[in-house]
Amino acid sequence: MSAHPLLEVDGLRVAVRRDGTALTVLDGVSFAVGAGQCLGIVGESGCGKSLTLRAAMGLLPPGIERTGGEIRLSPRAGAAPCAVPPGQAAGRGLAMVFQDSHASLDPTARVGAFIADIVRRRTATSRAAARRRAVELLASVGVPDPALRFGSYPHELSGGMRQRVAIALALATDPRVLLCDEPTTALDVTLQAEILRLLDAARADRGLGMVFVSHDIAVIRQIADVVAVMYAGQIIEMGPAPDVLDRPRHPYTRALIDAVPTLDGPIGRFRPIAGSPPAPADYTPACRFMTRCAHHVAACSGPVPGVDGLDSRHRSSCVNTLEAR
Amino acid sequence: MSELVRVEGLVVDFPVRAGLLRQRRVRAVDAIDLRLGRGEIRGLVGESGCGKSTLARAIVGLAPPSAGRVLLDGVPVPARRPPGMRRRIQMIYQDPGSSLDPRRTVSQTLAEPLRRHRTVPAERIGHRTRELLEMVGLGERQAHALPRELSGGQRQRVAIARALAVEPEVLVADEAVAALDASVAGAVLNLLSDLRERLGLTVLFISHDLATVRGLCDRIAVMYLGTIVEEGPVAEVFARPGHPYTRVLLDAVPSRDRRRSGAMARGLEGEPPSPLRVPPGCRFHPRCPQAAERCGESDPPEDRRDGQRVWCHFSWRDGQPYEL
Repeated sequence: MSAHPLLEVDGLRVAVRRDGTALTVLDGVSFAVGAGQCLGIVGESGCGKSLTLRAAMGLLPPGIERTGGEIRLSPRAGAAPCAVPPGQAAGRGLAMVFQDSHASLDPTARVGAFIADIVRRRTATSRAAARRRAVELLASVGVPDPALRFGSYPHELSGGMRQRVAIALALATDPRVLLCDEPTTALDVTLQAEILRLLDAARADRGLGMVFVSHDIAVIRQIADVVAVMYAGQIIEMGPAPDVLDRPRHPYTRALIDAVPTLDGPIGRFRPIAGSPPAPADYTPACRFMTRCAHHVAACSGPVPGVDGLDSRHRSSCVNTLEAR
Repeated sequence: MSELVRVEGLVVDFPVRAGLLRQRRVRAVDAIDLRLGRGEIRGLVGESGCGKSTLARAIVGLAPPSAGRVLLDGVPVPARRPPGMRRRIQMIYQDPGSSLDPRRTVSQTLAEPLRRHRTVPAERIGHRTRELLEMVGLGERQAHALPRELSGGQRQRVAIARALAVEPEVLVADEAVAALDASVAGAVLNLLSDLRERLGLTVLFISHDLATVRGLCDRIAVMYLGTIVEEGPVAEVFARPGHPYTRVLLDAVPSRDRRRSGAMARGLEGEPPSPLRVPPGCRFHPRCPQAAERCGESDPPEDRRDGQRVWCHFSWRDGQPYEL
């Protein structure tokens, strides 16, 4: 692994503009990803995890913009990361895989031709070489009969096969960092396992940096080296996966782990988290989990910043961490 | 436990287009037998397209069976169900956002079935509505809300309350918590299990999430390509699955002690099965990690062990308890 991280997100702030006011939805999100490393981001719907990926990719929807912080991307292997200006797509070096594989593919284009087209745009090779490369890519993601599948349209493929093609497409741009937004959520558990293996193999073989967003803590446990837990637009706990998932310090992380039934845990009543996360309009500098937290103390109402996760030491934003008690 | 629902040799066919003018029929559910005891929560699992939702719809009366029958309390349910019979089996869906009328308040939504089925006299409707809301853990504040003003978990509670309005004996829940966050889903699942205790409700719980089924259900049935390949008490099936497909499903679930570094769970190779091309013999044999010659030649026999039933030529092949 080189000394420099491939992608650094530093104090990222994102706001939704509505009726002349700006509503902050991401509030000081910081993390770094190195070569061959997988950062897992986990949290409930609406906590800002997908938005974080889109901001990093420079793909924020209209009306939502970066209002602070820096996104730095390593321009080539071994080089220090440089800032990507707000409003600009990160472009080369980053690629994204979505939950809905239809989102990445062109419904009117044969999948192989679509990939070959991307390869040609990137590398200015001959048509024949681009075609060979596309077939290779399809084979590398486990598409059976890649030469035959080259001519298929997206709608002719099953969901799992389409997600493989979407991954081949992402790899066609030769990225250094792969951003994955719930890529297995719409799939059956058997296919999910295959896609996770595939992504993990791509990470290991190509030394890819990976940011993997999921609401499913079991999936994150399986794929991530470093885990960031997001709540209400902030990272509230971050660190090496075994530390965060086996010895969580933030009561929210603990509650989230306990809420998910497992195949090997004790059978009893389910343990949901009471209440619901605050809406962005209700975000305050205080701890945003406070009202749902069984352990809150007076200090929780004071300013509680999110976790600065530019290195991968284990830390939590909780002023009354589980470990300290 | 007395038997409440019995499904006998149920077949559901759908017409599909095959070419310009030709139609053929595809068999989504193929000769299924299933029993639900009164007050039982039965899990039904399998991959997308295996026919579990079609089976559920046939039980509720929303998909006409091509053959076989459904018996309720020992009485065969006619093809055209009289309202009294329809009332006894209710269904809830994955997305309560689309099954609730966006222009009706919660109390209007709940009053409608009470009026239609004349479950209570008109002057008692308001009282009964409040009772139903309380039963699912909602209050006066939500009674006058529109669906869009509620959270996903609250909407699913309203859908459950509406299903309960007509005092059904059976509730069919099709992926009822799949769209909810884990932190919220647990509360809805606890509610289902409380309702079973309080009302003696029988539940058919369709899910792709095995860990949830393990936590909620008494018995489980595993479907593959229109048939049931294994069924039995949850504890037994999860501890020593007899069918290779059940083992594959369990193996694919990401687990606590199966972290990365080569030990990552295996899924299934090959294309997911299509009911348009049903393989001969055991339907799972083209994807089965332990298929032998005879699996492609003859239908698998039924094998029983305690309360567990498995349809496989090599059920519990190794005879060893399966380790998670």
